[in-house]
Amino acid sequence: MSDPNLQNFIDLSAVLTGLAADLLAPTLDPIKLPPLFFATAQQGMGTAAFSNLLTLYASIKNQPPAQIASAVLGNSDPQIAQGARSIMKLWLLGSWYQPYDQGTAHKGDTRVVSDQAYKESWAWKIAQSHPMGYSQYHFGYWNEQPPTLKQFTGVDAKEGQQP
Amino acid sequence: MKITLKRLACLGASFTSALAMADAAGPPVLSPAIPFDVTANPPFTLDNLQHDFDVLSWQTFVALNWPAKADGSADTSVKIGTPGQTVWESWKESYAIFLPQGQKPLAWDQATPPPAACQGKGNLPVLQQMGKVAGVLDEFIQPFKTGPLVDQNGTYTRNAIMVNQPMFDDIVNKGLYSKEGQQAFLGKADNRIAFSCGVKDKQVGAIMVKSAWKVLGGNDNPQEFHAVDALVYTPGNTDPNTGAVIPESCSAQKVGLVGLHIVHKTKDAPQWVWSTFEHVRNVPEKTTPMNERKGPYLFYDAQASDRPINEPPARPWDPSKKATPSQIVREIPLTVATHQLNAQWQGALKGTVWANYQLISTQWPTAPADDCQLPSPTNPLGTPAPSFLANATLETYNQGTTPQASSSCMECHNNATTRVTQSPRTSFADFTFLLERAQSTGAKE
Ligand code: HEC
Repeated sequence: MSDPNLQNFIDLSAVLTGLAADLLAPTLDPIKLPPLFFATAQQGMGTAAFSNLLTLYASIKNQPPAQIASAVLGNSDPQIAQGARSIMKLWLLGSWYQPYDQGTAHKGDTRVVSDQAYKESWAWKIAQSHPMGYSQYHFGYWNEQPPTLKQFTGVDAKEGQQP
Repeated sequence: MKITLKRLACLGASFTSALAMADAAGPPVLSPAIPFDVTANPPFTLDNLQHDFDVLSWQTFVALNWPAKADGSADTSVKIGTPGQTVWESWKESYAIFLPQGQKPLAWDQATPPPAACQGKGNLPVLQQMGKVAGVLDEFIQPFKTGPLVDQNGTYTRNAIMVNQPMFDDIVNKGLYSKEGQQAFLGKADNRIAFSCGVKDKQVGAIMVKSAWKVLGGNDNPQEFHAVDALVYTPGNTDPNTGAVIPESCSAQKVGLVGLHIVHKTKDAPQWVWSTFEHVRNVPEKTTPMNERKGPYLFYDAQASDRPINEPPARPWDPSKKATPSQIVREIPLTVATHQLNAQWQGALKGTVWANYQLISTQWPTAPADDCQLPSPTNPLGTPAPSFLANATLETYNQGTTPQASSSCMECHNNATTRVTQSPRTSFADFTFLLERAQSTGAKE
């Protein structure tokens, strides 16, 4: 990734979602959501707030993930805290939730970013499932055990939860 | 330099090899040897790998279009472009594999007799399919806009489907040519449909080819095409509820190749490699400005640019009558890189008819599974690149870039099943619709 801002955006997204950066932005990526999500967040938050968020992240990126998350999500600047929350939802749901009034957009406005963003959003994989209205699984898959959370997300299921 | 795609991610994008770079930049080599797999050259970026798969497509195109000896193997004593039957044309057509009453097909080297109406009209290949409209597939096809393609002379184009011997052997040895055979195969505990992905330097994996042909007439110049004499067969229909009422017919015609799908299963591509070629004069691109649409095109009339584009002909479809020519444009333009690669290969093929064909693109899995016989449970499609691909003669009416609606070879073929209705497992057919053609022996299940 040549653009350091884009890389910071992806790394920050990894901290916020708990998903590895190379899953969010694979080396070989024909779908190219990361630049689209970058542009979406930049436009939604406004260039200044978005840049503040990335600058903050760049200054603390060597800290443990939990500390980064609380520094960002609990930030005293509400645009940073709420913008980061919207970025999290963007990866998970493929939709942009407008965090505050910005330009012509109003707090609470919601839009699906693109058909691919919907289809590839991570909530479906975390649910070990597939998007409503789209599945690449083979006829009869519903009769079989779904793959594990680890297979879908690289993250182990918590003890006592379904694998 | 050969590398498995699975290892690409680990290698990162910075690794380079001067040797491999030189190799990648070399001029095209016209060889009758079918490549076993992609030759990937570092750095392994999406664009570089696309290039490598596109080279695989051209190499395979050249090898399959090499003139064949009587036994079907490439005649290495002549050059590509020498008239005569090509390697893939000597393979088995689908109608010779999936026979009435699920009978066992004849041996690989034995010719299947043509339909009765074609007998006595010469020992020629038979062309009978028209668009994705075959009976058994109607149900599946419904959500897609589909229909036959009509050339500028008002004649329907025809398709044929052939498979290579490794794929044919798999179908025969596993009994997959009949519905009951498929049931028996999938009835066994560990059996799944998984065609051969080949053994490097020994045997190529399964290959299937779908071709589109137009009848040559009017102003068509046969010299510009890979042209063959064929028996153009139309099955009769007596039921007005299923389409136009037409008599069975078969006539010898000179036909020219206008589209060619080549689909190859390899170790690095368990989801197969999807290459598609067209005649260079088929259609203009959607983005070609009106005043540059000179043509003449085979499936577009530059004089009638106000006609609606990419619409199937009105029903009922009757191939025995002249129809209004289709007005087709290519929705997704070729990339600059594909144009450049095409120019190199067309240059190497100069003086042969094959210089009149172009690669549209190659669809390949960016995240293939570790085992070429076992798709990943979470990503069975392997994230295809490019996300969409269509041949203007074969996926004419569903070109574009809308998920679920526009043509993606791998997405659509991922839905292919067998004819087995009771299976403890999914009846995924490994990306081929061929097994849906199997008929019933009539034996009690
Ligand atoms: C909308 C679904 C759809 C798309 C998209 C599609 N195909 Fe197919 N294809 C079919 C169907 C259905 C058949 C079988 C019936 C027929 O040939 O008309 C078929 C047949 C084939 C065959 C013959 C073997 C077989 O499975 O029957 C090949 C080879 C093939 N397609 C290649 C391609 C390539 C290459 C692309 C992309 C450029 C592609 N297809 C896109 C539906 C599709």
